[in-house]
This record gives sequence, structure tokens and C-alpha cells, in this order.
Amino acid sequence: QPVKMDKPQIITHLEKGMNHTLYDCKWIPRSARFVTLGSHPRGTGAINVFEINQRELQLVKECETPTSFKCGTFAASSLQARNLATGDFKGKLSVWDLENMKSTFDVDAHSEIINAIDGVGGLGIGEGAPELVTGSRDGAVKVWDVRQKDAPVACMVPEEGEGKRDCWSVAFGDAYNSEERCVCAGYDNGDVKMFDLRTMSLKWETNVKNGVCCVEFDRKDIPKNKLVVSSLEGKFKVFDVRTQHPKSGFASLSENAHKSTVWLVRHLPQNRDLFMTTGGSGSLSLWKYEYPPKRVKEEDGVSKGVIGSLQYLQNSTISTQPVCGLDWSPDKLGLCVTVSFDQALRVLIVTKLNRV
Amino acid sequence: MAATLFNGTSNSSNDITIDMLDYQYIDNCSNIKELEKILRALRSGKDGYYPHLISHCEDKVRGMNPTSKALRKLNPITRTKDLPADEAEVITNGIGEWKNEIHSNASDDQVNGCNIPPVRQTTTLKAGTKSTVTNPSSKSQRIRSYDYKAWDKFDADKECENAEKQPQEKPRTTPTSKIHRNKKMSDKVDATGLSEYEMLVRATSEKDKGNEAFKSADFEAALTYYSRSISLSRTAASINNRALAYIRLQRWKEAESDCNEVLQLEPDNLKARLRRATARKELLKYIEAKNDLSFVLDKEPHNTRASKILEEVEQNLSKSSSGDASQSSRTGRKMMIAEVSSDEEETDPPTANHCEIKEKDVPDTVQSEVAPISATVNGDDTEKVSKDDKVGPGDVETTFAAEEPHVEQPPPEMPQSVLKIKNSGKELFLSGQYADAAQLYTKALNTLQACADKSPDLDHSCNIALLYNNRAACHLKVGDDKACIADCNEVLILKGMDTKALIRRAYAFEHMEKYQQAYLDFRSAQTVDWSIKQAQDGANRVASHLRDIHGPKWKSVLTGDRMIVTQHQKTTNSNQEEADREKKKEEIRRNLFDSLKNNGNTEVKKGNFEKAVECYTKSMNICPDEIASYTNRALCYLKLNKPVSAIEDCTEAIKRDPKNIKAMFRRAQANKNLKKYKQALDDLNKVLQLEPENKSAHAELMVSKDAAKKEKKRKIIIEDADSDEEAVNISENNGKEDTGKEEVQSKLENIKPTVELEEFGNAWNAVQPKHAVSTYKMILDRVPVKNIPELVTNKTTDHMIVTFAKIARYHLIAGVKEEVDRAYGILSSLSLAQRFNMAAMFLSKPDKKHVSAAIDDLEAALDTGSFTKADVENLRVTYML
Repeated sequence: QPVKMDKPQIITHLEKGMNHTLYDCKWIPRSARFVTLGSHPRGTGAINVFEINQRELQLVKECETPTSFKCGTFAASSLQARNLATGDFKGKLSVWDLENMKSTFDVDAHSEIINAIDGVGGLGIGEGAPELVTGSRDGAVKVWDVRQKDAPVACMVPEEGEGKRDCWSVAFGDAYNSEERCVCAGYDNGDVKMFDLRTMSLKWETNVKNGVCCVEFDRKDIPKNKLVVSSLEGKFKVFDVRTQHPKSGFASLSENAHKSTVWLVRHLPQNRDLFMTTGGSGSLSLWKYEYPPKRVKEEDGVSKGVIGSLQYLQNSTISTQPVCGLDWSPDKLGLCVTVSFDQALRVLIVTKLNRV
Repeated sequence: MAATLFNGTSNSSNDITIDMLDYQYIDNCSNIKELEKILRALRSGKDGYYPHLISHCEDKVRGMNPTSKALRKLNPITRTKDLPADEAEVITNGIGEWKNEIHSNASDDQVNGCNIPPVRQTTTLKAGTKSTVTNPSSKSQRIRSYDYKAWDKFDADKECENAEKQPQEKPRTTPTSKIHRNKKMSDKVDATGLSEYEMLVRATSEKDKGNEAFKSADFEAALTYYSRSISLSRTAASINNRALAYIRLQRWKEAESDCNEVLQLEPDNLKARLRRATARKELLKYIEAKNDLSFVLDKEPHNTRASKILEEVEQNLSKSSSGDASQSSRTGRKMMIAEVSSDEEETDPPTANHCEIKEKDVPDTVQSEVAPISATVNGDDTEKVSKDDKVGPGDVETTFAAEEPHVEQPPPEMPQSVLKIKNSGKELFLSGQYADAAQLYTKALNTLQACADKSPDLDHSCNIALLYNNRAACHLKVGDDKACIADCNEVLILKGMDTKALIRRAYAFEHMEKYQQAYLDFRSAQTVDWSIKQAQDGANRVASHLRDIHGPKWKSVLTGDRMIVTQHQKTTNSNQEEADREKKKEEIRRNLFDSLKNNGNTEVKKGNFEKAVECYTKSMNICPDEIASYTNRALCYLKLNKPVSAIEDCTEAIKRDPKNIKAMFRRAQANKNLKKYKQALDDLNKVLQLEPENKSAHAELMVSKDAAKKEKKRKIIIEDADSDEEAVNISENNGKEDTGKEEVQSKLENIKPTVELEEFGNAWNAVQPKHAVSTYKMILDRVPVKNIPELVTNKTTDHMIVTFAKIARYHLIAGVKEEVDRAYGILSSLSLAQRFNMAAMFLSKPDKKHVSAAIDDLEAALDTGSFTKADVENLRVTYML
């Protein structure tokens, strides 16, 4: 069987088993270190910092906190400070100085677990002020500015009398100048809502039928371009969010993958048209979006988006359990770290991404 | 099975019957859906396992629809250790190199004053499943929400269409539509408060975005992103890409001027030439376009695109001369589009072509530019390089020609008989019959030797070397490592630093597990030509073997690069040959020197002074008598604020050429920085004697004179203060900052030797820029050594340690006992400060270099100071060096 050698390969470079549950992992920008967030069996939180050496992983720092962590991000921190923002099981949002393992900002952001967090304006990505967004089981999506401690700067809550929906995923996008910014949120009932933070309005909503596990824009700091929404039952959708038609909304395509929940979608920071999806059966799939010859067509004088196609580049089953955390290194093309429910963390290398 | 036979359907799927699971049926089936179902049924294994039938069916499906989802297979985990050894090595080394690089990049750039927009006003949006923004009277919820969006965008149309909805929604949307929406992105990135590294990261990411936009055919956006990238860092690659974006947008003028700029930076950039030709053709500048095209065709005679455009241009030229201009421009455009669409996007900076213009020296006004994308972001190292493919003898001739383009006399042609044998050898080699090829090469060698003996006036050494080199390749392939090494040795004796031979010998050594020699050979090949990937990979691979064998100190077992490099200097019989070889060596050295110097010059232009210093140092080792290296390195040292080293270099240069103006001028600058105004003035006067019109020297002279005067004045004032303890009036001084500082300084030196804790902290933090060591020194000068730990308190940072080390070096320059002792005192008492150990632990590599340099200097000054060698060693330990 001829093997195509120009295809990217997903190679598991380093593996390490832990004695606690891991939920999220993030590269510390400008370093060969990453941080994992999780929960000890007794319900306490775990922050661990690892450094990669050529042939091994080295635990550099560890810290146990009172409450388990669910998610974290560096995206609202400066490149110098590299402070980690975390969301925990009791709804607390904290910002950590990893050097001293001390929190510099704490707020009881939500009444229940913070399922997802995202940031913008830090690390040189996104114009405007650094902000964080959190999505929680209490149904609210809140935007935070670490300069304002007591209250969120924007809050998207369900209307009174409405049933609360569990918000599973949030993402920033559209931050291409200092005014524009939008937040996209995905809920357990399949709702996807896009909020415009400048006008504080609901810009778009849809329902993808199954619970939305992950939403992500292909880039945060450009006029919104593509949005990928992954859901239960092994489906994900790609929306071309450049052109919105007054009736049919955004053009989209839907793809089956993993035959189980698609937990995550992570775009390559160096190329917005490549992304990885992670599956509930421990599999990873690498995709490439290809644009159609013309992205916009005129229909009765109104422009309508045209969706392109997806190319299935590679896959690899790295675990028997869901892969719940994946982060591409912003500094080294193709390097990424994953955590999965088998309590293992893995450093992967995806080769030949620059030739795709 | 019985059940299946009865109802005729397979176990796995109702649509698939047993008789479909058959070679013939699959061959004849033209329904892709059905084939996919058959494949799934086969794979499920419920009707048995038929590996050949499965792969047959896969092939059939692939033939009909290569992207069929049925062909997707789940791959198991691939670990690095499962890969072939060389691929695993490439990955492991790639990670290791990247880690080192990123570690050294994480230096202490401190950034102040970012302008962050104010905190957003707190707002709440209530948006449940029934969003408040939607109109409750609408029939369908889905349309409602879209209507809102339609409101936002298509206000006018909607006003007519949805007349009855209007009154309700209008109040909501008016504010949105009234505020002017700043949809545009600025062409520039606000770089205030960005560190150099951040600028680089931003520039790279903007360029990436440009490439992405370009790929999605959004040329306007691509243009904006490229411009943003260029505003942060003017690299040829970004400008070249922007030129292409301009061409796509048919903005020919801008495209041309961008190409001009690229060609100024990289005169041999063929892509830029071609793009300029395209633009010029559209601007009807046919003659210039033709010039560009013939330049391209000169370098790449087979460039079809260039010849195509040239044809067009020539047609247009003849047509326009006959007066049919309108016709010509139309056909021209058609062709142009065809050309551009085949043009590919440049995602990486093109590999540097060697410069045409050889600068004798770097100009004094060097633009400090940010380097193009660092290798960190490129990730090229993931690619695998097959180690043998490139060593075939077929390409030896081209290398041969490329390596010695400056040989005055071209080597004589091979005699026909030899050439014939050689060519058949080459054919055999290409077909894989290496042993036979080796035999033929031996034969060719013998014949050529005989010819050479017959006509001794022709120098066949180059040809002989070529044959030896080819035979070495054969031996390497066959696995006869010893013979290969012997042949390579011959080549190296005849031709000096031949990279192919070096690499082949390195491979042979590697096969024989003589890793030291292999490493040295790879390294030597690298010194000749940095761009050889085989040499790089080989060196890395062998280095890791050596590390495994000898542990971390493996480098000490190497006997030195020089040995191998100079091995080809073996004595030979004939004096004539010796002289020839010397000449050739000289030429090679010359080329090497030129390329190193040019590398240095480019680094200077990019602002990487440290790297430039490395290049110049290497070039100095090769040609110790070249003055340019010294003056250039001095310039770098000046930029790096190392005036003492700069002075040394200048003095060396002046020793070799007593009238070198640049050296004198730079020495003057360095002396000025060290406040040795007298020496500076001496040098400047000399410069002006030699070149009375030199404007910068005049300017510098004025500055130095002023500074010297001030210095004198300050000394006098301080003396005054000694006798009279009143506040000192230095109002005559012009520089406001200086006045303040000097006032403080003189006051404190004489009145209040100790500084309050808070004052010290404030003064220290207020210093701008953060590398102004002299300013820091002024602050520290006021502090008695024993007070340092309590003043520093727990604020010790790596930046502080480095600054202290630099200050200590300043003290050491004077060479006086008190100063030397103070230098030691500063370093030793800083180590007593709180948090010192923590900060020292996190020193980056360049930082450590500074500190260890300071301690080295201390050690050198042992005689003058009142501390012992043990003290210095202790320091080294406390600073974790």
C-alpha cells in the first residue's frame, strides 16, 4: 500500500499519566512549558506546570487549591506577565501568577461551574482591551475586564421565566479593531448564539440539534470569517460567518467525525484553515477547509455566503477516553498538548503542516 | 451462514447480499454508494475476513471517489519511538533546538505604557431562547432573529418591506445605524509599548493573516494585513507578498514601487523581478520590463513564465512601435492574468541569494530592523530529509561550478575518452549499480592520470577530484566506508573544502561509528556552507550519539574543528602543485570570508548585533588581516554598548591601517561613551585631519567637547561642595535631565552617602530606557556596598542582576583598586539580597553571559583588588554559573 508521505502525521511524542483528572491544558506563551488544570480525587483543584525536554516531561511546579478547575486561558494576559485565568467548579474566576502560584484576581463569577473560558486582547491577539468571557451551568455568559473586580463588564443572561440552559462553550471573535468584538456561546440544547459586544445585541442564533460542546472562530483578531461548532453525536458544523443572508443566515456545512461526541475544535494558530477535532473515543482528526471559488453570490440583489469544503487530512486514536483538552503551541508550528479522561497528558507533533 | 444462504442477505447489512462480496461483482459495480456499502460490510467482518478483497474494494472506491468517507480509516496512535530512527531524531532534535531557542528569546524586555482602551460600560443582555431583540408578533422565531440582523445591515430595504414591524424595532436599531461603524482596519499596527519580540510576533502573525486572506482570494484584506506587517517590520518577504497583492488588485504603480524596494534589499530576488516585470508591462514600460525579464532568464533560463511574458512584451514593443497601442494593451492584460494565476504565494522569506553588491564596509547609519520570521515560527525542522538522495554524482558538476565561480582559469575540459567513461559511470550509478560505477570511475581516473602525465601543463586536479568524489559516492552506497574515506581525502587534498566530499566522508565515518570525526566533518561542511541541510541534520544526529556516549561534556572529546579543516594541507611532492593549491585555498578562504562578512552585514542591517559579532569573529579567524571585520565588529560592539571591546577592535584595525578613518571615528565614539573625552577628541581631530569634510566627525567633535566641558565643570562643582556644604547650583548646564541627576549625585556623594529605601526603588524603576547602564550606575554609585541588600529588598529581578553585573564591569574598566573592590562588593552584596536565589535561578542564557563576563573580569583583576580567587569562585557559585 503506497503511503502518502506528504500528508501530515500526528505523532505522540511524550506521554505522562497523572493521578488526578485532567480537564484542560494550555501552553505558556513564549516557553516550552504548559499548564494543566484538573481535579484531585478529593475534589481539590490541581494546577501543574510541565516543561518539555527532548525525551521527557518534567513537572516544574504544582499547586493544590480548594476547588477543582474546569478550564483556563492565557489569551487575556500580556506576553510579559503570562497570567493564567481559570474557571472552577464553584463558579469562581481567578487569575494566577504562575511564577509565585498566587492568584492576583478572584471573583465569584457564577453560581455554578464555569464550563468554558476564553480571552482576547492579550498575547498580541485582538485589538482593544484584554477581556475574558466565561460560560456557566447557571446559564449566564459574562465578560470580564480584570481592571474591574466586582462586576462583569457585560452579561448575557436568559430572560426571566425562561428555563436556564447549561452553557458549555464560549469564544471571542471579530476583534479586528478596538471597538468591534463578539462572543459566541454554545448551549446544551444545541443553541448557538452570537452576541455583538459593541452594540450589546444578539447578532445571530441557530440550533444544531445536539448539545454544543465547542465553538471556535478560526481567528479572533480578524473580521469574523469562519466558525466551527462541534456537538454531541459526532457532528460538527462549519459556518462561513463573513456573509450573513437576511433569511438563510450563514452558509454552513456539516461533517460527521469520531462517531461519538466531538469534544473540541482547535484551529491552528499559524493557519486558520487547518483545525483539529477531538472525539469522545479518544481520536483526533485534522481537517483543512477549502474555500469555494467565490465566497459570495448575489441572490435577488442580496449577497449570500457560499460554503467551501473540508479535506480530511489525518487522524490518530491516542486514547480510549474522551480527549477533553487540546492546545496548539503558539510558538512552534505543529506542537500541541492534549489531556484526556484516562488521566494522561500527551505532547503531540503534527508534521508537515507548512506544506498542506 | 445457513441463515444468510436462505434469505440471501449478508449479516452486516440488509442491502448487501453475499454474492456482492465478490471480486467480479465489485469490478463491475459502478454505483459508488453500493461499493461503499460493500466495503463497510467487508470491514465489519461479520461475513468473514478477506483482507485482499477489502483492499481490492478500497482500490475500486478510491478510483471512483478518492475522497470517499468510506475510505477513512482510524489510525492507531503513532509514537515517536515507532518512527524510523532518523525521523524520530529529526523530531526530537527539532523540539530540543526550539526549546533552546525559545529559552534564549525569553529575555527581559520590559514594556511600559500600552494604551489600553477603558473598561467597557457594564451592560446586561437578556437573551434566552426567546430573545428580547426579536419581535414577539412575528410568526416564526427563526426569521425574527435573522430579521434583526437584516435590520442591522439592510436598513433601507427592510423599511419598505416590513413596514408594520418597523415602529417596534426601530428604537432598538437606530442607535446602531446612527453610530458610524468603523468597519475598516487600520493599515498600521500601533506599536507603542511593544517589545521587539512582540513586534516580531505581531509582524509574523499579520503576514500569516495576509497569506490566509490571499488564499481565500480576499486581496484587499491581504493588502491590509501585509501593510500592517510591514509597518511593524519591513522584511523583503512581506513587501514582496504585498507586491503580488497589488498586482492582483491591478494597482500596478504600487506593485512596482514595492518590487523596487524588495530588489533594493535583495537584488537577486527573481520573484520580485518577475512581479516588477508584470507591473511594468501594464504600465507600458516595456523596455524596463524586458530588462527585468532578461535578468530572470539569465539566472533561470528555463523559467517558462518569464519567457512567456517576455514574448508578450516583445510583441507589444513591436506593436506599439507600429502605433497599435490600444490593441497591444488588451492582449497584454489577458496574458498577465494567465501569468499571475499561476504565480504561487510566498509564505516564507525566500532563501537569501548571495548579494551582488559587495559592501566594503557597513554604512554608519544602520537601520535597526527586526529580523524576519524566526525559525521558531517556521517549523521547518519537522520535514524529513532523505540522506542519500542528494549525494548522487549527477549533481557534482553543478556543485563544482557553483562552488568555484571565481577561479580565474576554467579547469581544462576532460579528454573525450575520460568523459565517456565518466558518463557511463554516472548512468550505472543512477540505475543503482554502484559497484560497477565505482569500477568505471577507477578506469576514468587511470585514463585521466595518464593524460595528465602526458601533458603536465594542463591542470587536471579539478577533474581528478571530481572523479574521486563520484567514486566516493559509489563506495558510500556500496558500504565500503574505508574506500569512501580514502577517496574523500584525495578530493579534500586536491580541492580543499569540498562540501560534498566532507559530507560523504562524514557519512562514512558515521557508518563506522567514528562519531567524532563524523561530527567534525559535518561541522566543517557547515562552516563552508550554512545552508546545507544534510550537514546540519548530520551534525545534530551525530552530536546526539556523542552525547549518549560521552555524556554532557562530549564536546571536550573533540579535538577541534581546525584539525579537519586544515587536514588537506598535507605535503605533496611537487612545489608547483603546492603553490597552485595554496592559491586555490586562498581563494576558498576569500570566498568564505566574503560570505561570512556579508552574513554579518545582513545581521547588522536587521539589528542582530550579537549574531553579527559572531559572523565577524569567524571571518576574522579566517582572514586576520582584513580590517573591515574589525571595524564592523567595533560598530556592533558600539551598538551593543560594549565600548571597551569596540576600542580594542578599533585599535587592532588602526594597528593594521594607521589611517583608517572608520576605526578612528568608532574608537572616538566608544571613548566618548566611556567618558574618556580626551582620547575621543584626539581621534576625532585625526579623522578631521585626514578628511576635513567629514560631517559626522564634526558633529561628534562638538558633542564630545561639550561633554568634556560639562565633566570638568561638574568636577569643580563637586570640589566646591566639599568645602561648602550648601546646595549646588549647576544652572548653566543645558540638559535638563543631566542637571537633575548630577545635582542629586553631587549632593549625595558629598552630603548624604546613604540613600533612603524608597528613593532608591523609585529612582531605579524610573530609569528609561531599561538598558541605560550608566544611569543605573549613577544611582548605585550613591549607595555604599553594605547597604545594597536592604535597599534592593525583595525586588531582586534578573534584569537587576544583569544591570549590577554591567555596572561592576564599568567599575572594572578603571583598573584602580577602589573601583575593582567596589565591583566585587556590588556583586557579592547583591547576592545577599532577598529573593536573589530565585532571580538568579531564572536568568536566561544571554543574561548569564553578562554575569559570567563580569565575574571573569573580576578574576582578571585579582591582582588589583583585595579579594582572593576563592572569593571569585564563591561568587560564581552563588550566581549559579
